[in-house]
Amino acid sequence: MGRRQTRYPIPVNELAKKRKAGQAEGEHTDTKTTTSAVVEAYDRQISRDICENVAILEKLLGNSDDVIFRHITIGNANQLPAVFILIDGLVDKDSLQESVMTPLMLWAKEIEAPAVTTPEAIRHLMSEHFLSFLEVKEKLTYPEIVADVLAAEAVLIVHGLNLAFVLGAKKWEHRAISDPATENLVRGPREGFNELMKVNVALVRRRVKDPQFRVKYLKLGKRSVTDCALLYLEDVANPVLVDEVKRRIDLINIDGILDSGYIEQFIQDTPYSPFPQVQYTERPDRVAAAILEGRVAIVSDGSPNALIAPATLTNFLPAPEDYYERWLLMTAIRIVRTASLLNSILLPSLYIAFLNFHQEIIPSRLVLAIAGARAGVPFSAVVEAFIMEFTFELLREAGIRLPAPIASTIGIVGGIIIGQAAVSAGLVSPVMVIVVALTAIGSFAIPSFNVALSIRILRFPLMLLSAMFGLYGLTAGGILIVMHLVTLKSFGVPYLSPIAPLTLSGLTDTMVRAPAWQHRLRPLMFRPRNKYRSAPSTSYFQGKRAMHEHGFEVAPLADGAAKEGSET
Amino acid sequence: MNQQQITTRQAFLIMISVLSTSVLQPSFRNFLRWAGNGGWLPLTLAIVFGVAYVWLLLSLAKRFPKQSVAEYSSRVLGPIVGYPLVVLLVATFFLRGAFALRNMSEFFVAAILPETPISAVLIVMIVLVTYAIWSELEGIVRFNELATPLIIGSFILVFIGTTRLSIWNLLPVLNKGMHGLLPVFQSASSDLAIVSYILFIHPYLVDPQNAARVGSRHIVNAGLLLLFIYMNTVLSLGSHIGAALTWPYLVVTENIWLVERGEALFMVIWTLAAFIKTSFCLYTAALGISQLIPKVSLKWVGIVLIPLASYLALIPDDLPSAVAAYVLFNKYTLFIELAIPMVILLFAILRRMGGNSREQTSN
Repeated sequence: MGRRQTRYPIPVNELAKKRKAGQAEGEHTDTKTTTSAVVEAYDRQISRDICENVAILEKLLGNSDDVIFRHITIGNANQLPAVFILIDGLVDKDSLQESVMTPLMLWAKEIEAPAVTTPEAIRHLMSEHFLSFLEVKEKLTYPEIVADVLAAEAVLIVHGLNLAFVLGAKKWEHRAISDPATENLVRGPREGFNELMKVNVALVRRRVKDPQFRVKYLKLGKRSVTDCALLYLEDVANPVLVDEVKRRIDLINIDGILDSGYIEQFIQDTPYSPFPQVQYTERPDRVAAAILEGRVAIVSDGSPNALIAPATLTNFLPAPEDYYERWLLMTAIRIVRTASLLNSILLPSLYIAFLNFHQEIIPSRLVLAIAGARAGVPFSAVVEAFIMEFTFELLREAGIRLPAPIASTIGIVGGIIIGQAAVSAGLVSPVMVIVVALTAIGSFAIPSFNVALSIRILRFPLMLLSAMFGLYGLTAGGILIVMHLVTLKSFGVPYLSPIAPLTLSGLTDTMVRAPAWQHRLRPLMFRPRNKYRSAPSTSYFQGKRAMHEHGFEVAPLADGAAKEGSET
Repeated sequence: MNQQQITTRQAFLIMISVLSTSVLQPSFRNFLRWAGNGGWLPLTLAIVFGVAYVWLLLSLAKRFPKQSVAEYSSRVLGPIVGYPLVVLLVATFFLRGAFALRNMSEFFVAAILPETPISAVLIVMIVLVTYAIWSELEGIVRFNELATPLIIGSFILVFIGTTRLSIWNLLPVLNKGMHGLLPVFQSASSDLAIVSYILFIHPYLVDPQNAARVGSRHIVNAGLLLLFIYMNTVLSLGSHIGAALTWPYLVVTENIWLVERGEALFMVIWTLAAFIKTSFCLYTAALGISQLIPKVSLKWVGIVLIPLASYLALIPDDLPSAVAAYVLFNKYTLFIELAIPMVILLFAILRRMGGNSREQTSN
């Protein structure tokens, strides 16, 4: 059991000074702005009179039926009136009853103590003897108390004291830790984040047991007052980056943060870009890996997705599994994945360009086969492609929104029946169905949903350019996209780094995933304070000779040794 | 001055893309026409010239660190002489951009888009170049960083796939005599002299101390690429046939065994090179103007220059007129681009300005 933390109240005049300083810095920097104008009207220290306190707090908290005011009498010689204030459903009533109410109301009667009359003595008695709670804070003003009640804390106000005890008794129903729904792996941890921020932070903390690991709590949203946490390694993450992330988060001024997606949209560098500049994940191992690289993670309450900043394009393409399997195999998989990305964005456009402008590139037999298949199709290649791509997007969207069993039916109906029917009816050619199917499979192979989404959207203008100018148009579209990517930045880090600008050491984790022992340097594009993640020679492979000289080595078995062994 | 920052390697890597666009220029066949089989000799000498020229440019730039030629030329030569000289230098880049637009459009229309009007091809390139200028120096050099391996790879692939390489095509050596070597040397040197852009972008280099080493290396690489393309063309077609074709290298790519009629795929890669050259030339022109008139935004100068360059590009009525204009332009550009830095450097030395001299210290 940890020692209870005792906090002494700050004198009122100092508190007022602090608030003024906070106001000068900007209204977003403290939680004061989260209270309404009515609460601000009572921004003063609470009274020693419990009746006055209850009246004011009832006014401030409104007439909500889920706000509980439980009046009790502390049963020692003083017979002190007190009140518990809490919100029904957000507080652990059982532990509150066992650890606080029972001692205060029943056991206190059995203590034959002299009556305590001074406020300091009452406070000492309460905090040292009766409130057997791990987390107890003392709050002085009405707005602070209101904020704590709304943040699911239980508040105890005792007559005669001009302070309130805030008991950390948060508890509500939540989803258990389960497999990440959108980031499945064959090999690797099965834990995924849930909607509780503290659980999510703990999942990361369990993987990074370093005293330099820092968690900074923030509150966002004027009305939602969402708890958020900033996670980073103090001696690895660049302090300028950490400050920049904090600064951008502090600038958020909105009534509610209901998911980490809100934060992402507020802090990204270029909101008009189709490409994501902040990574999200529901895997704690991925967050831990990012923190070890010198990046910063943001976890928000109510969201199973943590944000990671900065993020470059190369961060979106690997799956966590890439680092758990052997490097050679995963390099091959990465090449397939990159090809599938290109396939997903280019294939329909290439089909249109080749068919409309550059038939000479297609081998003669193939071009005859395509022409034969397209005989009777009433539309041009581009119209055909647009119809099929649109139909496919429609099916995919419908499949996502439907419950899982029906979604698979939609997939079968869309993929097989509609495709077959469209070909039979002569609306589209079988080649087009193959092209669309390959495009779809390619987009599914991209591990990041948001990058896959960007590519899905960009495919359509490219198809249009191909229809107008053939390969020249497609190249022009490609140039625009790449030009956009090279100018894009995520928290000051070029989006295409380490490829452009080129950092040779960074290439060990791009399309090629070098062996783990060769990832000696952290990604330098994030400008980490500590560049090295491993000692020069840490693997068995590198130190093989030394291992053999001093370690275990198996000598070949002598003839007949197996037989002797079995006889004995 | 804006806060763009690039490395010296990125700055000089542009030269590879710029020189590779020679295959899109109808003037490339003049190498074969003028020098015949002996074109390799002036091209090799042009590389030597390129290295010396880079040395000259960097000697000047080093004297005035963190300043562009637009800033120090007027101090060295006085505003009456200094400004017009920089304007002349800017004009060469502007015209290079205009010619690159025309050459590239002609090439694509002739090679892969025979039914598309030249203006349509031009409009697409205008959009791309506008976006590139809007993305500024960092964007262009990073794009080039990505495109350069593809560009070099495409030429290597063509060489590997060329079906009829014959060493005998190089004989007889100097079949056109000595008199044709000088124009080829002059033309190739003029192409290499585009590296004078370094005078404008030198303040943005994060590692200017490496400029001489990196610059020389990249100039040699770019020159060797030009030589490689020339040799591939001669070995495949021979100088006699090559000189009769408008785009001899295009015919080389049409006859490789790797891909059946694969020239369209190579067009894609050369579009990148053409885009880089055009956008970089026009960007340098816009940068020069914005350095001369600091209150004028570079992006808006670019917006004005691009339609102007497009208009100029369409002035020659037909391809022969465009080629003739380009040849004439190339002839005189070399002298302009050589003379201006030399004059400024000479006066800077005589007036003891820049470098470790008193003037620099006082600044």
